Amino acid sequence: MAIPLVVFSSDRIRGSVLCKAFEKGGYEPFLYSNLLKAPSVVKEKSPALLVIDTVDYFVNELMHFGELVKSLGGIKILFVAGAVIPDGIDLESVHHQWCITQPFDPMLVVSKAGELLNQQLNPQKKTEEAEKTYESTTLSEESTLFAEDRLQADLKRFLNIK
Amino acid sequence: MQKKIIAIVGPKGGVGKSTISANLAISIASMGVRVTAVDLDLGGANLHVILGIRDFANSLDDFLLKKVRTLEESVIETGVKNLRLICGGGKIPDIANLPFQQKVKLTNHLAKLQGDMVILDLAAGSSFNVVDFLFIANMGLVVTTPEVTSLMKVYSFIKSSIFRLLTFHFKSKHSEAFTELLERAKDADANPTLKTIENLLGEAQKIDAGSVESARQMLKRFIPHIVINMARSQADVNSGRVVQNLMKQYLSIDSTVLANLPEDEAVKKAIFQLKPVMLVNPGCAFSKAVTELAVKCLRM
Repeated sequence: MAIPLVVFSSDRIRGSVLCKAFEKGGYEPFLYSNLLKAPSVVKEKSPALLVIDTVDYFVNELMHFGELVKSLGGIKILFVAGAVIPDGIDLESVHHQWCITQPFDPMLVVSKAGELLNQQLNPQKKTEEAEKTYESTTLSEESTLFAEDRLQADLKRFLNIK
Repeated sequence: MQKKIIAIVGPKGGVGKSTISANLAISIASMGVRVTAVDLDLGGANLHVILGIRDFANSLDDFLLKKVRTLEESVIETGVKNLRLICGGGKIPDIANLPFQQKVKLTNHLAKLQGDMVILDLAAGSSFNVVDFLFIANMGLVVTTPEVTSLMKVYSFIKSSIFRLLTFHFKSKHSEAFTELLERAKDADANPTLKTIENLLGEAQKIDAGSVESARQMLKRFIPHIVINMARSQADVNSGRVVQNLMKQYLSIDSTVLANLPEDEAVKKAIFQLKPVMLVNPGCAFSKAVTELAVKCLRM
């Protein structure tokens, strides 16, 4: 059963390549470009993970997204960056990880996404970094939240009510 | 006290619907309410087994075969104070497909039963018989386990029930346009603009706004109460909320998650002993949760 995830990329080609890689990895990716639509997209698709390809987004768009994402509950986010991680994005209360890939390696992104999802499925495997950014949430709360998201996504898919 | 009818449905089989019916009936009866439990799982009646009754002289069959004149004559005592039972019988072939006239007659007689409360243990599935008996009740409990397969059936059952309600409602308006719209809405793939009940009512509004307003009022009164059975974790407990949100979003239905009943070995042991767990182990987690459910049922 494919795990739903949402990919945001302002570069349609990079985004499509990422989606192809995720499809090959057994995921069900949905591609979007407008970061400001993230809350409604998350509500509609109930993804297990958000993948944000930060390359080619303006810093102020990313900063605004950093604010928006705080209202998305416990959603986990994988940020993809080129050579450098952009400055000024406040992600303090967000469970996230960075994937730096230069040159662009979509399979590395898929592998990082798998790691991040695995942390959710097997809380004992949480990295210190994740614990630091998410210390206010207990492990059981986290896996419960994830289970709820997954259940909703499964129900929507099986009932064909997406 | 005005007689209250509680219908207990479990769209998927094996979710513990009859176990809950029996133990809820005992719990409510123990609070001084005169209860009649009725086994309407016509194809697979077993409520009497869970209540520890091995043999019975009268059953629903007697009423349906006109061996007795009134449903009241099919009632047997359970040995539990304030609790009576109408066994399902199940000796009549094809009994699960109750003809409309018999359904109407049965409905009338259910309302005339003595006592304060009637608890209907309905069959699994979403046949018209099940849906129609749910509609005659003052309160409908929809039992499910936290598994996705069971929750899917809950959603589909409620959706079927809504379409049944709307079909009756719009048929009474003698409008072919409404009927045609409902038929189109059943095929959501071919008609994606009608995928939610709100979409459907929005389209229907163009035909007759007045009828749609009364349909909305009717749907507002239809409040399924979800009971999660065999909950093992917090995630299981939350599963009710997930299906509740989906029903609100796509079916425009306000439901409640009335109870989360834990998985409990004591239930299996009691069933093995052919005795109700509420009697053999009233202090176990399941019995306590059912007692809380009973209190809620009485308050609502």
